[in-house]
Amino acid sequence: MNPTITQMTNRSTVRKLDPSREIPKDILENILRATQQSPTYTSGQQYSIIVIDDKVKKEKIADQTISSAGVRMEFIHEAPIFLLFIMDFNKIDQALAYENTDPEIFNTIENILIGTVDVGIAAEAATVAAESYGLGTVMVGALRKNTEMLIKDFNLPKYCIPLLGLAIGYPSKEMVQYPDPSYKVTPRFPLEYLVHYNNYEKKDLKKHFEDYNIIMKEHFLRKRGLDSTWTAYMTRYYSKPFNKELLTIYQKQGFNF
Amino acid sequence: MNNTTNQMINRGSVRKFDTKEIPQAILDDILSAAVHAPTYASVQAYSIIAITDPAQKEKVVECTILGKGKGMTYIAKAPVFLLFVMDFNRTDRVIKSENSEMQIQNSIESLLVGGVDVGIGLGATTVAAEAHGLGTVVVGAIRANADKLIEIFNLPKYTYPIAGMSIGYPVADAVPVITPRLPLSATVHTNKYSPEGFDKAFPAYNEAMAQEFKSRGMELSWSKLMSTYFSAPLNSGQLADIKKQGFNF
Repeated sequence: MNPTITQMTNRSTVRKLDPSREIPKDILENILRATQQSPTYTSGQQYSIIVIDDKVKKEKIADQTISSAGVRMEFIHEAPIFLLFIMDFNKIDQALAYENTDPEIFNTIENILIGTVDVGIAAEAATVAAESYGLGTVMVGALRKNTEMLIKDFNLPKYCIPLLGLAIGYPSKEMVQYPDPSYKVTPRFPLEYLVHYNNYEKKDLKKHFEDYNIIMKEHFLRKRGLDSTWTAYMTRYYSKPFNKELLTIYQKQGFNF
Repeated sequence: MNNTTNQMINRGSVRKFDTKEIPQAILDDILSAAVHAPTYASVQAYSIIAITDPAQKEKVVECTILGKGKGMTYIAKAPVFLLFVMDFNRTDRVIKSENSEMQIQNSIESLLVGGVDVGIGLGATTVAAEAHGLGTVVVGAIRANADKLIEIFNLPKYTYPIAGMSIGYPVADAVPVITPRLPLSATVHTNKYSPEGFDKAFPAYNEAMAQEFKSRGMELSWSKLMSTYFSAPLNSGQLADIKKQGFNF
């Protein structure tokens, strides 16, 4: 395996970041430049990144993530840098105004597909680049439940929606001295369950769920002190109605499909 | 710059592929790296269909045809086309195994989780493939005929094809084409969103892109390209297709 692949295959989310160790400016810039050169739909660069190093702003975002069980995502303010990824069609709107053409993209759901994929590609590029400098990261989708507040707090103009955050920092000492590094890596499905050849094959997943549950139960417990199987964890997330009000917020931001 | 970021900064899409096959071990290596990328709440809300069969690849090319064009013919030339499918079918089965009912499909959140997960997967595959000396191009144009793809690949309920990627060895004389990006000042903001960055950068960037297109034999600028795509109702049948797959928001 080459070093990049090894790094990627051994990646794990690092929730304990060292708040006292800053990220040197040139390293952050390299990460952002690497991010920027990743693929984007028709060279449109339909995203923006807000670099948040302001303590008060980070605390506010962390407050917004407090779950019904009272759990706060502490790593958001512990991280020296929190990157907020915005799906951004405001730039596109201006480019079209310059050409005296009327945008139509805001009237079809295609904008969400372009925006989410662009943001996903960029956030992953930032993750790989950060890891290559020995930094740790956590991706945060949970902040979408406060989409409206984020739009207000960060003055996001029309055609902009916050989609994702990325906490970046040096792993804290306790993470570095982790007893068994193999437990740091979140186990994934065996490839055969994620990758199909030439056709979507509906595979019998029952046995696989049982095996994966055993592995993940141990992983959750060792890494996060969480007593749950994977299927129970999935059920907790996906069997409840989610962010029902999001569509209204999208419409307020100028999207209408 | 270190090796990884250096590779990333010099990335350009590759559309001319050699006929050389990708060894299975290398493809597995790349896909293993990709699936270890982050995913929302460990859900892994996507499946990848690796298309190596020439007849199936031709069908994908047909799905990228918009209007009078020929579609993305390079898809047929690359040894592998990876179709990234947002996949909540598996999640549905997971939740049924817990005697509970999936609800995510009734909120646009499903599309946000799925779209971002697919994006992350594409980003990871791009970096991993390049690390092995392969070239890639991400194809969003497959969404022009998503309904056909659903049929061709037997995509079940709660799945939707979001994007694809051609992957292969670049032809021997290939010079990577690195498309200029907006300066960081236009896409990266500090602590608050500042529209001035883009306003200032736009004229020079538009000119730089016009020069870049000229060198590729095209009479175009960035804003003209954006207008071509975004002033037309792009793939407007999609919401209906998405709903047919069981999503309802």
